[in-house]
Amino acid sequence: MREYIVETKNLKKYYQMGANTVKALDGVDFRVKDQEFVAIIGKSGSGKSTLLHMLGGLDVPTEGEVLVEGKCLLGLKKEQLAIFRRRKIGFIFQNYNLVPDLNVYENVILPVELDGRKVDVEYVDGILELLGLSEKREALPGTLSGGQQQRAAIARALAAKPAIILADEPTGNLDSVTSHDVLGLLKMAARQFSQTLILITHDRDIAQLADRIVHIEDGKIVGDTRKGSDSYA
Amino acid sequence: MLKNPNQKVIKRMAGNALKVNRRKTITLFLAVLLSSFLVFTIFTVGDSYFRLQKIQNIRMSGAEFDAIMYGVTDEQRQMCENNPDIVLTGTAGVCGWVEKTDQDSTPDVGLIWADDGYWTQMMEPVREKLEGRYPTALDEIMVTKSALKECGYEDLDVGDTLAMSYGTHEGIFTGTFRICGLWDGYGPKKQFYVSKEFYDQSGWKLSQAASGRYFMDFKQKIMTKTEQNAFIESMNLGKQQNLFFMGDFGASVQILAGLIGLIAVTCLCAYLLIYNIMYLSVAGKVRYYGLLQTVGMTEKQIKRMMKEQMLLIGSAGTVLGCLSGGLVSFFLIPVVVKSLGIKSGYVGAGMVRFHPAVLLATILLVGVTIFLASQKPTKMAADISPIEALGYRPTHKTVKERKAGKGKVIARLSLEQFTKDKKRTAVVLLSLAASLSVYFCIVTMLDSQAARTIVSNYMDTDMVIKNDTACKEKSEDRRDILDDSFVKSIKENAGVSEAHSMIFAEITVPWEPDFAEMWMKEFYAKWMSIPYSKEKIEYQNHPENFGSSLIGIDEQEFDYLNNSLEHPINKEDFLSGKVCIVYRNGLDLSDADIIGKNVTCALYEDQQTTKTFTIEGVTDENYYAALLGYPPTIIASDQVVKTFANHPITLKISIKYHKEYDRDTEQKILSLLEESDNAKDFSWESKIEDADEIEKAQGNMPQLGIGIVLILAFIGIMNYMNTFVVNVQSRMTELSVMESIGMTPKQLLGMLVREGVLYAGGAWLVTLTVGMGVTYLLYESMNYRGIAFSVPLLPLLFAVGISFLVCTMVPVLTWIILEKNGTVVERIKGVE
Repeated sequence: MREYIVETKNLKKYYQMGANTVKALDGVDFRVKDQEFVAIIGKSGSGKSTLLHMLGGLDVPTEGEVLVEGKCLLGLKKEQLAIFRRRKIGFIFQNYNLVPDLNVYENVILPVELDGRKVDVEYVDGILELLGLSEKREALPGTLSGGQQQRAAIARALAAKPAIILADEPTGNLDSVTSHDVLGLLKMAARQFSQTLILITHDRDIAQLADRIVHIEDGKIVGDTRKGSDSYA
Repeated sequence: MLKNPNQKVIKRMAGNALKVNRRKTITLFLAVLLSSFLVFTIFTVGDSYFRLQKIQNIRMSGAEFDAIMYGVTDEQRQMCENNPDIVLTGTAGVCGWVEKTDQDSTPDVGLIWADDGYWTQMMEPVREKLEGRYPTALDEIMVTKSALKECGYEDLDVGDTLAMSYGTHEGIFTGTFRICGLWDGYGPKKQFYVSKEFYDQSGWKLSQAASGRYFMDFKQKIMTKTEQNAFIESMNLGKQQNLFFMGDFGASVQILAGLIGLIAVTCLCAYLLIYNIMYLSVAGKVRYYGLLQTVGMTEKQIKRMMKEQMLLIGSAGTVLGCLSGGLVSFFLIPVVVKSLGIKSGYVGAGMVRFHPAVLLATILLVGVTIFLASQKPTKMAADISPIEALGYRPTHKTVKERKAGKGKVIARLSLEQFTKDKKRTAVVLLSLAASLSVYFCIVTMLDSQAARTIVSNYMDTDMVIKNDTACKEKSEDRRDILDDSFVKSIKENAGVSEAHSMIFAEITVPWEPDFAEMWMKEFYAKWMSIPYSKEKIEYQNHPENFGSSLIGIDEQEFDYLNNSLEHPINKEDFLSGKVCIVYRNGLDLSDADIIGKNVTCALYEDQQTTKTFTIEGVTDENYYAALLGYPPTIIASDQVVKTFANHPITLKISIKYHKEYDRDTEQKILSLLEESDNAKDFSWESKIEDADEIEKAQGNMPQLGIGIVLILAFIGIMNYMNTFVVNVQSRMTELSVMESIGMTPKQLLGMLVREGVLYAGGAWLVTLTVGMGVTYLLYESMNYRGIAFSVPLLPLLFAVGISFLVCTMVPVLTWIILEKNGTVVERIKGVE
């Protein structure tokens, strides 16, 4: 069995800003084990979101490799990348990014439908139940609170039964109580459905919920701590 | 309250907003420019189009008048001259014909006199060339080249003399005439105009329906059918007199309604375009206006600032739009018109006319449209609270929840998008459908008014060749120049599919108290100026002075004629000679008056040889009015005529080609005629020549029609493009989110294509129902020629193809272009 589900090798992402070159990622070597819960922390502009986007195939690196389940994303065509995303990755964004014209249930099953698969109604109902959204399944996103919208986004990320959940500051727009609720649910769901969870946050308290905390600064990993162990970065 | 001098700030803010949002400013500016350009051009081109159509009608009738009366008494003329509703009257008198000249023994030229009102004023618009002056002396004539050609003297000019034998009411005379004038233009040209003195001596009177023509031009250009009938009633017409209003004049109410309808549809298109652009543009900037409120701008100031922006864009766009519209209308169209061969007489008079009203109407319409279009978005932006505005994202405002949709996800998403903003969808659909409907209407009208559609004749023949010698008074002058060998040589032509000879024998119809008496009585009452009672004894004793025609037709022609009869007759009886058909000759006799009666005819040269037919059919088809006598023209089987008469001669041959409008075949037949020894004794009517003549008279009408179509199609497409560009732009985040969660590019484009198909399909649905209905009404209101409504298939399919292509390609191309703005993540974040 493969040891790592996600792996990056010398990952670099450079942007040209006028005459200056911004190094968003500068040679990142990063590995995540299957079903691991990893929190990536760092200041604003440190490159953590860029790393997450690279892992999800939303952005293309300047140099280096991203391997998911041993398969290199580099060289995949747009069509193949989209299929990869809907089958392997579940995204959760800071501002939820639900489709405003679809109700909660439609939003949740959208990736499954796009893949042409039959919706596992029982499974989806289970997720909605777990996330406390059963009553809101026909509601449009605009009518929900921030916490409810983020729970709907989590449900969408889980619905296609992806191997990896990538969450970009999922509690960024929520108050602290709701943040902990949402995070708790996310962690519980990931564990229940045997998924790998990679989460970005700048909140150290939230990061403490993870099995492992990776610290990024100026596009480089400067710290990697496993719960109950020392850094091995 | 102290005055707050914030005008400058508002103005500066408005100007800055326009400068900063350069792309949106340009879009809005282009929208206003284009709309005012279109409204201005449509008004002007539309005005020209209808004016040209009127010119066409004048050209086709040979003069400008609204009504014509056949036969006019002094009393009636007095009444008309005293009628304040009639601005101009003209009189003409048909007074004879050219019997023969040294060069041609069968010229087809009439003699006519015209008074000053008719010649100088009414005929003025149709004349393109005039040399010399109108005849004043007895032996002077005004000629045309085509009339001279008929007489065999094509090369004569003003000042030359022409010797001819001519006929008038008084008999046949010979004389030499001096050509005092020559004209060319449109309308009947195989005529020599003569002096008043000549007319007076011809024996004809203006009160006779066969001679007098009285033309009237009314002040009131819109006259309903009821008003027309009331006028006809007031004229106390005699039995032979007739009064007709010109087709276009009679239909002027409907034409005006049609014109207003057309302008309304085009204005609607323009309105929808401006409204849509304004609405989408302002709606897309709600967040910006919310931000302004947060920093302290009042609702009033926001409204003023927006109005300021609209005023700046509106005035600049309208001025440039009208200028460019002017350039197109006043520069381009005359150039096109000249290149299309319209003569200076018409271009000089202004092919495209400048109407200050058009300019004012455009400014007013565009101004009102901008005002109305910006009202709602302005209010929307001013009403929204700053906090709401900052988080504003266009979405369902009132709906809180909805059931999950059914069906395949991509198709469902497209349909949801299509039905999401019903008002916007309706506006775009209406705009597209309006353009398509007008396209539909104009294409249908152009097709039905096309020369080839207008030219239709009896039996749908391509050519009819006539034997002019058959019209000769003396039987020895008549020759069978269309004999069997000639017909055979025509039939040998590979392009000819059918040729039917119509043979003729001169007959008399001896008096008898039943049918002959009834017919002659009615004939005199209808057509003659002397009463029947004065001539009855002459007719009874000398029927040979009242010659008529027995026409023989072949079996196929009989089948065609029989089909056109109200009461078809038994074929065997017709072929065996038991029964015949009679040409009604315009008499007020019903089928019941005639059918079942017996008619007896005698050979003209041998009065003892007689034959009696039972009349079973009556026709009004003037194809059989070839040679008229007072007694009836009898139509029988050609075999019967050949057995009855010793030497019947062929009167005319009707020819059909394998391929309609086959110019090669026609040329071969014309060569055959020219090479014949009897070349000058043939005359012919050709469908191709008629179509060419109509096409020439129509001038550049079809091109102008197509111009309107193109402009409207452009508006519709612009509106659609604008909607979809804004639509895709505003959905960029949403589409990118879908992409991020696994919608493939293929699925995404498939969704956009489906949306396009829904728009195109929806637009066609509206077009083929509502649009088609309106088109039909518009068409009928302008259809003063009474041409059947039929939709030309090819242009329709072309429009379907183009509309579907545009509707599907616009969203796809918009996405492909906008997608390049950044990666999925950047697009989700809204980085432009």
